[in-house]
Amino acid sequence: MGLTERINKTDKLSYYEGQIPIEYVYTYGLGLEKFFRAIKDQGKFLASTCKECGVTYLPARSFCERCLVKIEGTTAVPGTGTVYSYTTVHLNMDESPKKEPALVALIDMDGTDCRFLHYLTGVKADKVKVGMKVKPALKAKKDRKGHIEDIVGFQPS
Amino acid sequence: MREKVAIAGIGYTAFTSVSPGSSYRELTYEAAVKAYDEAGIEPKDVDSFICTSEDFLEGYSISDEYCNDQLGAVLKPAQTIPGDFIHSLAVGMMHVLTERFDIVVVQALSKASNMKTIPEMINFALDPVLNRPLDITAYMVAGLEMNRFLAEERATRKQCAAVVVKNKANALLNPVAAYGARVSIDHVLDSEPIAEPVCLLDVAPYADGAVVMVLCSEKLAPSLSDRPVWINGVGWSSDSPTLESREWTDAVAVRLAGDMAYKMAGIACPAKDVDLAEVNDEISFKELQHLEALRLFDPGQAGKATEDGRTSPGGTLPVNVSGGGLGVGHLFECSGAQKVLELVLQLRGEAGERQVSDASVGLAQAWRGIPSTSAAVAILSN
Repeated sequence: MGLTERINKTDKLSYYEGQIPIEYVYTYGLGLEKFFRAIKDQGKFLASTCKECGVTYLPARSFCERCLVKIEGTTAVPGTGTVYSYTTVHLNMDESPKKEPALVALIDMDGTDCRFLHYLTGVKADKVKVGMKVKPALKAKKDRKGHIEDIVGFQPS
Repeated sequence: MREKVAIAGIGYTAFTSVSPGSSYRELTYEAAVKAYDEAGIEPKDVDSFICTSEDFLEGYSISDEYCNDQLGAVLKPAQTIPGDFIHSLAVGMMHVLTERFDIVVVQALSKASNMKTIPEMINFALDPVLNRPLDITAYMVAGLEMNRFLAEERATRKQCAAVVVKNKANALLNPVAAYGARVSIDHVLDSEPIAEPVCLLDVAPYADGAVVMVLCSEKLAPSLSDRPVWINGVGWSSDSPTLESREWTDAVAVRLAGDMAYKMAGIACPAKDVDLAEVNDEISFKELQHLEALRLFDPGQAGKATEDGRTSPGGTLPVNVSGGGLGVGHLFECSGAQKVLELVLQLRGEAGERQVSDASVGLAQAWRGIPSTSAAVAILSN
């Protein structure tokens, strides 16, 4: 067994280019439905707390990933938080350089045990610090559609 | 129950930045025939085949359908694990331990050069509702994690760069590594920023290659190999997939996978009992984070150890002597296979110029890469 010949001329190499066009609908389910509806209609951040272990999830969830118990009810949290980490991203999805680097942060959200990932706005990268207090910036109510892009980003508070 | 499972044969291709002369099938075929030849078996002797593949990486739906022919596994018991090779190795080991399967073949492949849009493909691993709409490359996850790692003073930026310098230099002595190079700390720090503080040279570049291993029972081992390597322990674990609720600074899933493997292998003091380690270094700082999660160094000490040369060849615990992902290449689900392969070569005393002297216990650790938390660990001995 084993291959006894190999292609050893580059101009003899062939390939076929293919694509996989796939589209999806990602349903929100109970927890995320409430979360995004509250962002859209009231500009509020809804969290939910597990009665078993006390962990507060943001966005709100319908069950606890640690205890696996059902979570009922939601609580509005301020939507403010503290920068846990941040990064300046220089590449586009196709690995070409970004014209404007993107400033992204992971934020410890007040009143919850979760972090939130989003853009940092209204601040230059060299002024950002771990531990900086931030607040959310939402789109105008008429432009909100009930998804993550309703949040423009987080800005220094 | 049987107590020992042997790796009785290995086959592998070179790991290369591209492999235009071979199809993905031919890469696995090459590794398979070498492994079967070494163990002196034919496909008909194999009781079970475990392949490792993930649809988006292969470019097929139900890619397990496309795993069997190049292994000689058509119309044979075969299954596919959409994880790392070390996950598959654990399943193969368990098959042998049931005593229903005497000879089991485990395979993994990377044909990364076939993928034209790897960053998009990796982005599909992010949550489609919460994270993906931001339209930022998943490397942001590495940037955020490394920045926090540095902010907590778990390592310095230079210590992370020292991992790159070491691993790329190690790869110069590995004839099948794709990315061996002599680079300096300044080369790393001055390379193009991707997601700060992660720079281009901090990231393991993609590579192609295939690995096949023949596992067998202790009873059969002497007839298949005169230098079997034993799988003493395996472990695996995953943290929450959501970026919002998972642990960020510590690789908790790696720690749990390591503890599971140590327990099975009867290792009470990893830092003393492990002679060499091949750990995931897909991003420079991950090597340090993983070494600490695996209890091979105390928290915050792996960077200093790297700087002092303690993880270099000849150090107290050589780490990624093969070159690791940074020097050999990022092999996706085949990454763990390259690490296990290096341990087998080292434990047989066949690692040539990079041979670690008196190596008797080795640890291999895989991580499924950005943005995952899935980890798997194997502990081998000679």
